[in-house]
Amino acid sequence: MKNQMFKKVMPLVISAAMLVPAMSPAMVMAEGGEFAGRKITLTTAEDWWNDTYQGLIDAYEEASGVEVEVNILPATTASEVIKSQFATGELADITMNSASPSELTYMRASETLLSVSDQPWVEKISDTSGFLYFDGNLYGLPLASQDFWGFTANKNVLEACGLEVPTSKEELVNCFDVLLEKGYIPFYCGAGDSWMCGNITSSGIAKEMEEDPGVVELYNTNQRHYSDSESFKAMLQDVSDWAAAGYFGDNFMSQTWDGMQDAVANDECGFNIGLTSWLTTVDNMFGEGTSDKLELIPYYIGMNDTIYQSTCCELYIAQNSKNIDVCLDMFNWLTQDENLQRLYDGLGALSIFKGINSNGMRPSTQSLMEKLSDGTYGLHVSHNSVIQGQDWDVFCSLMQEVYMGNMTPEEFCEEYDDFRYSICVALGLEGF
Amino acid sequence: MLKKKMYPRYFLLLTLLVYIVFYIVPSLLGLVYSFTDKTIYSGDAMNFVGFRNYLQLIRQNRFVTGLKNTFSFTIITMILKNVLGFGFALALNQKLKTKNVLRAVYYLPVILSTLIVAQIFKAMLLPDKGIISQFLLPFSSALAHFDWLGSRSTAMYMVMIVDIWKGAGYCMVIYLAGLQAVPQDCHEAARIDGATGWQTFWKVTLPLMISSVSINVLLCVIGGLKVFDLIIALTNGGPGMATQVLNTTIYSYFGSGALSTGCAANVMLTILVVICFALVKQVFNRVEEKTL
Repeated sequence: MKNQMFKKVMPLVISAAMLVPAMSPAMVMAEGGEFAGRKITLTTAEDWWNDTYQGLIDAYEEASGVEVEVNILPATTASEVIKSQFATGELADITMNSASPSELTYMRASETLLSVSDQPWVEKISDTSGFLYFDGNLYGLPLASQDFWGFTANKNVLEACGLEVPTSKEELVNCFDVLLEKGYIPFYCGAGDSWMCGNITSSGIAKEMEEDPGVVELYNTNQRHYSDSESFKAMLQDVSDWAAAGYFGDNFMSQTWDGMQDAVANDECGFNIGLTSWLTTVDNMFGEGTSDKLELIPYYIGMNDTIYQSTCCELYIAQNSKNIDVCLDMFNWLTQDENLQRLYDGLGALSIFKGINSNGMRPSTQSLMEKLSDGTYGLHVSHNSVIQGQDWDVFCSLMQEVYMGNMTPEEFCEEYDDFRYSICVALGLEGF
Repeated sequence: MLKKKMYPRYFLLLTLLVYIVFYIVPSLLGLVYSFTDKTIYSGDAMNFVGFRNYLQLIRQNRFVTGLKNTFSFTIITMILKNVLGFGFALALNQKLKTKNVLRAVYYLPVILSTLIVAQIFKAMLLPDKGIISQFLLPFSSALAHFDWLGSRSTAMYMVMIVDIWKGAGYCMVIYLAGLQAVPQDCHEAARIDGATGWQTFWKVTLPLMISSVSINVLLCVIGGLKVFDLIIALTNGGPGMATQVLNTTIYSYFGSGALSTGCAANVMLTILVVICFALVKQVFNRVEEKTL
């Protein structure tokens, strides 16, 4: 009798024991928030994603019991893939994209994205750029640094060549000549990827905007074109001349991330394009203090002598997402002060949120901030963030022709104006 | 008497429906859109604009460059894939102990995914770090430092080499099948008549292989005109517009939201493929008539 009972009970006990590990995740999840057990998807690119973001997402998963599936796209194809996703409407619940809807018009914000203007965290945002709002609405969570970009001078290399950090375009070109003579790459340029290729043109119409802020409206109503801009063409001419003179090295059509970090860390180049949060990346990759030798100076190119204030990566919720409630919950959690502090400490860059000051800012970043505060350096915003109807991939493929000396600034402007015209027509912009 | 069994015609309906929904309707819609101003931003609204999109395309340097590159890519890869494929087939049609292994080796690139092939070659062709650079280093540091995919003068040739490497095995298989169908007595008769190896190939083997050549050339022409994935993965059309072909141009139009312009370019590509197909087919029909 006892034996029979044992035989009946034991299988039940064993099966229950075997179910425990299988059930445990659900039990843990049940301890999370009201959305425990739900799953959301997030699409981003390897250029924009880093350990700090991932750490924060992991912490949210732990706190809420929500599973966040992060799909990280390769840097080289991310912009095309995301553009296609917006064209077809097949979006993840959350998409991290490189800029605001005013800059990336293909996102068709009012049709595809959820407006988050009424969310409680919006009042924490301190927007100095004016780019975040589009059609009077805020469509994304600007959960990235407010980055400042400049030409990055490697003081170690300059010192080895007996040079000072340049304070004008003439001095910069003089440095290039000396560096070239001494066997250094004067200016590391990975024009193979659109990020570097297009970024150098950010200041193209800065001079015009400084003289007449209303000039942007002329571009956006088909009354002015890139081919009318002397400052834009002067910038293109410099790119072409510098490439022809060998200032960008032999292989300037490489991918930035294939070699730039090493070239900077190993003192192989005198200058490159850098940004404030990237200084933290350098330290993380090559050891604390590596970035101390770097100094961000203005884009001394064309007619420009200012630092570039960029728009920042934002997280966008798809209007057709079935998990809008979970996404908003995640946004609310991410924008709690302690989480924002953790994020900006990790990024080591300026915060776009009021009262959040990063403790991870590198000395080079602090030095730049001081120069911006005391007026030593001015700021510019990129032409493509204010002039509508851009296609960055086409822009950059034409820019590569300029780098290679296969297209003159005039030819570039004519061809891009023509391509931009078709986009502006597609967008239904007034005047096109 | 056994009656010939006929399947009911309605068996065709399902296949026909799939074909109409997924091929005919999209093609017709594309044709209609190419004469309108439809964009991804315009919703259902569209206006008839005649040939405006076509005229705009012909004026654009981007499209013309794509057209030129497509033709040069198609012609060069078609010739080399066929020459190499025929060469491999002739070599592996001999009595070799290793012929089955070698056939598998030459055919292997065909079964690999184009994207994987592109990634492998991208890594191999990296300046300084790639395996090809490492191989070239003892001979010339300049060559080892050279950016094969990033240089305007070499990028298109590199893409062609990869395409030929990947496609020659496919041509080889078709030629091998053709060679095995060539009657041995023709070769023996030629040998008895004192024909040299070259004469046998030129006067006997090649004429009897015309149908295989025709198939291979047609497939290579169509594949070349439609090339897309290899270029997107290997160079993304760059540097500049050096490897821009028709399909990557169409992709950029669709990417920028200009649906109607993209559709117009697509219609032009389709017409081009049909014309090339008809021309090549006609040429080979005449050659076949002459030889048989």
